[in-house]
Amino acid sequence: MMRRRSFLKLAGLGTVALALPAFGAYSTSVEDAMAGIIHQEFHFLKLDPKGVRQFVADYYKMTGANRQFSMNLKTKTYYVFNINSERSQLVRTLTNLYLMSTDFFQNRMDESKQVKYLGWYNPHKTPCANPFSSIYYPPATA
Amino acid sequence: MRQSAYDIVVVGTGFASTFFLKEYLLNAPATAKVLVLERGHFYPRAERVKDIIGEPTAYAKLNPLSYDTIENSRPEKEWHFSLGFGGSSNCWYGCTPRFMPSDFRMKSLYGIANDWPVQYDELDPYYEQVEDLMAISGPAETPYPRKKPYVQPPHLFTAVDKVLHQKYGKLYINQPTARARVAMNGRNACCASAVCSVCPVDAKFTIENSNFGVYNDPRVELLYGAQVYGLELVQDRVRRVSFRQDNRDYHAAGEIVALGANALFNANILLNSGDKNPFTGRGLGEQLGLQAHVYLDNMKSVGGSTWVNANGYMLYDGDHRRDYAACLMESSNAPFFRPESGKWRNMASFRMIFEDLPDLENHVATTADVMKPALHFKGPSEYTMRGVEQMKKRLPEVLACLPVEKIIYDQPYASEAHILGTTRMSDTAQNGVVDKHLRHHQYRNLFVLGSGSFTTYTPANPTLTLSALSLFAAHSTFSPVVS
Repeated sequence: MMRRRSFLKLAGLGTVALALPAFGAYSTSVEDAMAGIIHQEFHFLKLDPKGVRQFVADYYKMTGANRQFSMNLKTKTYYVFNINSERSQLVRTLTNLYLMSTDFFQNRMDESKQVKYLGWYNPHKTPCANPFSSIYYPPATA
Repeated sequence: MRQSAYDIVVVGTGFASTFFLKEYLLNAPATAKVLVLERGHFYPRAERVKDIIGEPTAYAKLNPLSYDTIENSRPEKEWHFSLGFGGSSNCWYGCTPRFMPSDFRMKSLYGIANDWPVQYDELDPYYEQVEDLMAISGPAETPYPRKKPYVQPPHLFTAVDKVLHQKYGKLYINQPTARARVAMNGRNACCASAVCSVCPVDAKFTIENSNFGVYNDPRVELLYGAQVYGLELVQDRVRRVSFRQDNRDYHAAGEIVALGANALFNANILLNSGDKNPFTGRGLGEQLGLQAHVYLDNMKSVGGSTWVNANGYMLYDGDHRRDYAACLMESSNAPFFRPESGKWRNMASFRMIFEDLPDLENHVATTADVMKPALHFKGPSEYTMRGVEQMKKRLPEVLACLPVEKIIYDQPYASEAHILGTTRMSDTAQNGVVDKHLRHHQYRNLFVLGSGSFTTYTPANPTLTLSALSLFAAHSTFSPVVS
């Protein structure tokens, strides 16, 4: 039977082995990490990389989230370990906001078209734009 | 101040004060002298929209930010409210379900906490009045009894809501809401922008768009920037209300005084004034909410016409409330989606809202700054957390009529934006602060309005009920018919 101490040693070595390749990724900027999260989440869409970078810049300008050490660490960790929106509320919020800020829904979710960033999503500027509401899916008439 | 003494002094201009004052003015003589003290300023909705979209507005800095006005001992627990004319009508989302009759009888039905001194049937006509005044949109059938249809037609269901309604009937209904379904009373129809705190199209009822005329009434003198911090209590009566305006202290005498600030500041004012009721400031609480994302196989959740399309009561009432909290479901229609090719809206999302119980350890306390209450809240009760656990066990069965692939739960929200307790309602001063007419048990010319008076914390949204309580209190006290 494996002794507890031996197990801990092995587990520790495993963690180091896993962490080593990831360590380099932590040196990427938080902006690149956030852009990476978006690209990972929507890997099956044709995203406009320049637009993604602009969204990230706008995101940090609007929220100031990159001034928080813990948030930066979280963002980099999620990027490094490819955490998706099913496992993280932060990733869900961020990626949702990004796609709502693009022309994807204007193009009726056409996945063959390049997705272009239009500017920070602001329903107060463009109300009634909920792409799943009765405006876009009216009740069937008899 | 135009007078030194008034027939009534009202504190605040939110839901509680406005509905109370509306009923008071209906019954008051033409000579009545009314003073309203509002700590903030008028900040019109259109100007709020300007600020949100980055346009300059002179109004933006008039009112303090809510979190600058309190000392929160546990900052991760948030308390949301809005300061200024109209109070939290400027940040509410317009959800207006009634409470269930059982919510008022938690002790006698389930042996939990206390019964309210006022019961559903007594409140029913006032619920009806508030629903008419707010022009509520809602369905023909509800899980709680109603005597007449809602003023506005119901909002539209999504395909998912339709299946659930078919299965559960009146336990799954179009949400009763103050977000207009059709244009009415100067308000536009809601178009599901899902940013209701400041509605971009003015579809939501607010005090500003209420057309009540309360604050234009010639009998009413409204002072802005007037923050009340204390009451002069003499021989079991309130004599004067103390407030600060432009760095000067003033004292206004009132025959009657009605506190209509929120549950934090009503308690702070009473504690500053030396109110010795052991329940004053105690029992601070609210509901707990979390989001459940439901992935669906080949079924789209589209076609809803407002932010929350429906309310589900399948996990709400029943004998389980002896052991764990009731849960109200809200079917969300925010622009959420599932990041998978071709399955963007093969998903539903429900906010699961759990009741909580008053706990004396959760409380408001005074600080060295008379204007600033300290908040102490240790977290949701075990009763509530058992409700969360049980919901996770029972939800798959509740949703069995849908093609569910998986359910993903978020962490609980930091706030449900409701502030409850602190001046609880009771039959006697031995177990609460105010009676069923919201009159202080000891100081009989003092009304303490709002959701601070709630005896227990049902999962349903509080605004409709606290507004109905204000009408009930004012009508019962001032109407010559009742007198």
